[in-house]
Amino acid sequence: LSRFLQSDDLHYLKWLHDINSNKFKEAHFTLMNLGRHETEILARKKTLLSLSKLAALASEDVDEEMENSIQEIDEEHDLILHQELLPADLVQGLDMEPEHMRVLEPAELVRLYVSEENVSATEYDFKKALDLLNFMAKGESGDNLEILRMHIWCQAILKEKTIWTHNPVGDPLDSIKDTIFLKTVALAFREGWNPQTFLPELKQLLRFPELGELRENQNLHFFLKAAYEQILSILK
Amino acid sequence: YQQQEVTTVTEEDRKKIEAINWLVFDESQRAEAMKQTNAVMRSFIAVKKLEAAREIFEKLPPDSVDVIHRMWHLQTGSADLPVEERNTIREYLCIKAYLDAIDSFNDWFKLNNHGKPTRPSLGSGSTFTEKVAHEHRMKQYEQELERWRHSLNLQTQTTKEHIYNVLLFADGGWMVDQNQNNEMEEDMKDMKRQEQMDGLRGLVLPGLCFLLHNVLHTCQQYIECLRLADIVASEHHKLYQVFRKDELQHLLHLLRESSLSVLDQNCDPLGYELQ
Repeated sequence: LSRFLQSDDLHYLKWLHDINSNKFKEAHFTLMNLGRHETEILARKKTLLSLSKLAALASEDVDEEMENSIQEIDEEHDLILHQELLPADLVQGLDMEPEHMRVLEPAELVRLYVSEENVSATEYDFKKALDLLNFMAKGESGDNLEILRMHIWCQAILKEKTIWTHNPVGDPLDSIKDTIFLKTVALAFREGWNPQTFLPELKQLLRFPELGELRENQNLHFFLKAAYEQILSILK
Repeated sequence: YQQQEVTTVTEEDRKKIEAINWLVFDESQRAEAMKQTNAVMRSFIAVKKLEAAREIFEKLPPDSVDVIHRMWHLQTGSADLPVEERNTIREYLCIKAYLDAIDSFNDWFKLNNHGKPTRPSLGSGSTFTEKVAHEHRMKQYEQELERWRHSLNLQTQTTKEHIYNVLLFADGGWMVDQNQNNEMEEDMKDMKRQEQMDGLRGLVLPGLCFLLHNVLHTCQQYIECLRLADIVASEHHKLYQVFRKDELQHLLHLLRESSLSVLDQNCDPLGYELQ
């Protein structure tokens, strides 16, 4: 029976058989495979991975390989949590039922969190977008990652375009200290991140096509320069 | 995996229960009374004497949390309770949540197993009048059955909520102090208390998971059964840590049964409709 259950469609049943014959290690790997390849329904992916983790923990001999895969499951669960925490109105706008959401890629999640449609986005949404870049690091090529990082910061600026482009009066830092941009930096900073790893270079950022005509805006140049100087001075 | 509840209350238990009477008399001693009550309830729950735990719980007036806040404010003028008192109140609320969950499960069990109306029977070769009377009884039976189903649904909902309240107890989990005493004065008494609370987590939480599965499975809420896996495996609540290996195995067997039942309804093993 166990060999019969190896065929592709039947993997879905094999773990039931494994549990029944107290082969928890095998159930763990079967469920883990199913969970990893699940893309249709987020909640199903989550439960498959949870069952896989429980099967690993229930097994009598937990070896190093299993410990690693438990850790991998925890990371996958982390990513799933980022999707579950998407604001409800944003999900509705996507025409997806929260109960039957499909599995979104990390890059898709990044774009959603910082999108214009996420009307009430705060620094926490932008920080989540930065967190999500870490989930991409393994699969994606470095270029895509860089473009997406740039996208996050450009969106932060575009979201508060009027603040970044107004005519400066008084201390420039005073007028930008409450921007999502700087609050996101502060948030990452508090978690011990090094700004050099998550902030793009100022010159590159100001040349990035997504900013459009803002690239020529002297006020934006002025404010961003002040912001970067402030961040660097804190670093020292 | 379901140890039987012990319902006898011995003479010695009775003494412990009655002793609280002396402490609740003076409101300024209410914090101490709650601390003592907690300690006695811990020892009762550890040996499954839930009847006794319930009795002593009821000795403590229900407004005790307010009284403790008020007395502290009167004595010191400060609104913030010290760490020890905050932990005592939190523990008291944890135990209350547990006793509520067990009561609620018992009510559900009674209703599910004994409350169901019995179908009237009609012997063969009955007369015309007997048949008419039977028809009438059948109608009554249908109505009673509908009423029973309705109250069972309501009771199921309440019981689920009460059990989830314990399993997912806010801010760190059931019987976990939220505030650590930073000072070095963590004396032997406190260490013993910590040990007992940890022990109770292992004793109570897996059992409650099994009870919840029982409720959900009996009421054919199989998808929610399988979602128990998410709750136990979650890194946020870390419930899996209080399960022994054999308990985890038992849980997986239970979830497997739910999965098989849902397969019978033309769904995939996790309860999603087949496409």
